[in-house]
Amino acid sequence: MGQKIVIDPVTRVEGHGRVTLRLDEAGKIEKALFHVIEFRGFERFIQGRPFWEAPVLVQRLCGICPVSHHLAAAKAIDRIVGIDPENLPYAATQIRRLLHYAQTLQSHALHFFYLASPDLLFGLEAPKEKRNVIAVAQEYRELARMGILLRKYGQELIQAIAGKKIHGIAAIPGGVQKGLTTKERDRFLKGIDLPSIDTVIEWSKASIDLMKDYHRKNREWMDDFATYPSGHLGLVKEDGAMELYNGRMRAIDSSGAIILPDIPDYKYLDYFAEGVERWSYLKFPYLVERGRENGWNRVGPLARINVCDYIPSPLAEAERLEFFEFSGGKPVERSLYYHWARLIEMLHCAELIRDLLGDPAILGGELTATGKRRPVGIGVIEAPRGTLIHHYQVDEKGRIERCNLIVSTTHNNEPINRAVQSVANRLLDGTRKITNPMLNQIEIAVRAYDPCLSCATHALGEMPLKVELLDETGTVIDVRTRPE
Amino acid sequence: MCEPAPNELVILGIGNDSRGDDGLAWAFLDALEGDPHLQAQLLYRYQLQPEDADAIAQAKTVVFVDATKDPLERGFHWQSGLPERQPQVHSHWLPPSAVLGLCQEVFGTCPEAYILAISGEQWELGQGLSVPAKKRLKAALRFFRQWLLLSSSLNPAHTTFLPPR
Repeated sequence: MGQKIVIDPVTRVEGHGRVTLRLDEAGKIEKALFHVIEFRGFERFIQGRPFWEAPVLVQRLCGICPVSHHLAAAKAIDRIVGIDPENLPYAATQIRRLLHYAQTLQSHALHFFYLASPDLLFGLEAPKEKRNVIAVAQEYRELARMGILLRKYGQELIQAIAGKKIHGIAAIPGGVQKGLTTKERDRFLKGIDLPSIDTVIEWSKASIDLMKDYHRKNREWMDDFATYPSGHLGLVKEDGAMELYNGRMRAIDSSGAIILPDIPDYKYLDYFAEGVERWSYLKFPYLVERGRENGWNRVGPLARINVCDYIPSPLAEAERLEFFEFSGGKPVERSLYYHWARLIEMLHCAELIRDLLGDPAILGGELTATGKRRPVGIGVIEAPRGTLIHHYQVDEKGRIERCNLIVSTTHNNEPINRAVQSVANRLLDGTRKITNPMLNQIEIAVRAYDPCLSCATHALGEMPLKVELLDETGTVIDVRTRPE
Repeated sequence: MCEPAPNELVILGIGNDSRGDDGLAWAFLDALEGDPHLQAQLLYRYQLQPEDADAIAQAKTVVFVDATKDPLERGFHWQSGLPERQPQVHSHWLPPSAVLGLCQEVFGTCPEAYILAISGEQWELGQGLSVPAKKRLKAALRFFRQWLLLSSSLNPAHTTFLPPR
């Protein structure tokens, strides 16, 4: 008789997820489903609101990456007021970029040091008491201190630009509200009550060294764990460089061949569609030309490092070259390498912040531009977790009629399902019970993608993984939840 | 905001003023802001996070203020806070005991800590503070100011919470 396993909730991710594993009569995995059961609502909430409110309202989707939603919405609203990205004043672009890189730095630091590092430092068999940042602090004090202060640096920089660490306001239609003062700029350059930007770069590099050391000791595990072929999607500059704020959309297949050829972001609807499944509130985006079954893509740090031709900052580029030595230059499709790619991006952002702090444009100048109104605006950025699309349509009075958000975790929906299936297939061969190491490994697979389920469904509610094991008739034969 | 006095008293208000009585702690801080009888750093938080360990590491005393769903006899509850070495942590947010524990582990110091819980009634989006919550807030503020005076007279280390006469 077939059986089904459910893990509910998944911990150390942003949001509430559930995993169902259905076994066939031979006890093999027939299907693994990662359900997102929070309710989606923001696209409806903001209908009827004036368009200029969108960057302020939609950032409330999330407390971790509100800046990403703020900026994607702002880019879309720029187009509604007639300003394309290339016509935004230079100073406004540089200030927005500084804000965006600060956001990516703090989000990556949060994920690696607070959520993922216990998996790497303490291993699969670690008891639950050790799977958190406090245990990391007890055994790796300097590492914990580094993580705390790296995140603080990013958060403080966000506050300096947007007024608040969470849900601040920096971007306005066609520009930004303000730049930094000289005193503020110097604080982040020299590190008066924070680490200096040079220290942030040094620590980002040290965290990559830690990852490389882990890789040396655990390469076989990292190579085999949740590895499967997929497409990869991300923004690139016109010359193919990695781009996080404003670029063209590129996708490659598992062999590295380009399957989405650097299209302008506002044309995304010509190429993408979204599938739905009755067991999840999360949609399944895919490239229309390749179809629902083959057109899905990974997004986020691993996808971005796979799609770009190079990283335009020297230290991060050196790390990228070393990263690809282990795949012979081909796209990396091993889920645990997301962590490594994430840390390379953290270093890239630190380098970009240093460069921007040296640019007088961030201190002010022409901060806004105006243009001729349009009925539709589309804004696409690379949020920390991947490609983020905001699309608004407004009426003649400027009220939002229609909104479509394709969030990073939505793109990663199918990849997370595949990762869970890959891990479950290896673990559940003939087993009919959910063990702790099994639960840990499924969580580790999900966590590699740094999913934000609250963002993806725009939910309000509590966070936490549930795994259920079902037989072929749908009868639950085992359930494990976290927190227990 | 009050002028920060990072080496003395830090008060962290945890909540969200968009969600009814979850705004109690922020309203508590609002009431203290600009108070000439208080020298403290007031920090508004949606949730406590690991970097708050850094924010309190230099303080002598820290007070965590939060709304609670629990009905309380006086409408609020005041208790000492202690660092915890093995807290249940499942995400990026932490309870006060974990922030104190992290502060101890990472910075080698832990301030004297108190937790002030104020009882709330309604938690929906867009609601202001309920009438009962407003009354409890007043009572909690009255208690806190008395504690401040009393503790300053009993403990010389606390006199810096009050401006010089």
